[in-house]
Amino acid sequence: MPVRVQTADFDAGHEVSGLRGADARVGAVATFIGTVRDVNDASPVSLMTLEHYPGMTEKALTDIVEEARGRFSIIDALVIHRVGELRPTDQIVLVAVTSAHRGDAFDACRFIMDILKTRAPFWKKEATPAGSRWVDARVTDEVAEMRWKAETTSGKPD
Amino acid sequence: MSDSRTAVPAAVPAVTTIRLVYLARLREAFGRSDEDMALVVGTPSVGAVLALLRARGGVWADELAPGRAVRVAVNHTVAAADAALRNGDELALLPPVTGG
Repeated sequence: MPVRVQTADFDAGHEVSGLRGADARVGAVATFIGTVRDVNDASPVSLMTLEHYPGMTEKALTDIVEEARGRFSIIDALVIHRVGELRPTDQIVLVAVTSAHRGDAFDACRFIMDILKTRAPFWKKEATPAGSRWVDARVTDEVAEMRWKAETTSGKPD
Repeated sequence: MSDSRTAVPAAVPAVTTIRLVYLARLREAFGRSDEDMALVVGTPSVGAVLALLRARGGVWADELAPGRAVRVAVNHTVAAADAALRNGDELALLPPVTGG
């Protein structure tokens, strides 16, 4: 269940092969790749600098994957998040999940990404024609996290 | 026959030294990435440290005003305002995260 924070790019095919290994229990692999857009909040973006909080980042990502293991029936998971300078079309993040069936792989992959967005200590700074700016957190990310909280509480007796 | 130890004041304030870490926008706003802070209150808490930082005024008061979305982590785990602090703890101030 590795989590990695790195400046180097990643090869999703290679990473998925490593995650699957020779495990014949695996019947489904779901992956998500986040990439750098050239426009954000109506401004062209030429360069993005991603910083993080070393030590806490790895712990937060590990905790998120552990939480996914508790909620879904998955076999393994991998999270790679890049930091440093990134440009439009560059890959930022990879989440890959293996499971016996597709439902758990899809759900766990989405869960990990949604929670990463609101809890993992990464920050983006964009270079735009008007100067550089720290990216604001999005309300839609909070809503995505809330959806999982609602699923946790629904169906439970008070 | 008196014990020489009774000469020591009963309540020597214990000093708790913590490391403060400022990240991303807050690091730029405060013009520093970290600093040590010595606390002499009995049982220092996250809230007490935030109050001390706000009392510096200016950008400190602005960025850390109640209601601002700043999270606190103690030793790499998100902590509430009433969390107690111990000597050597690392208290980080985190703006809203924007990874992924």
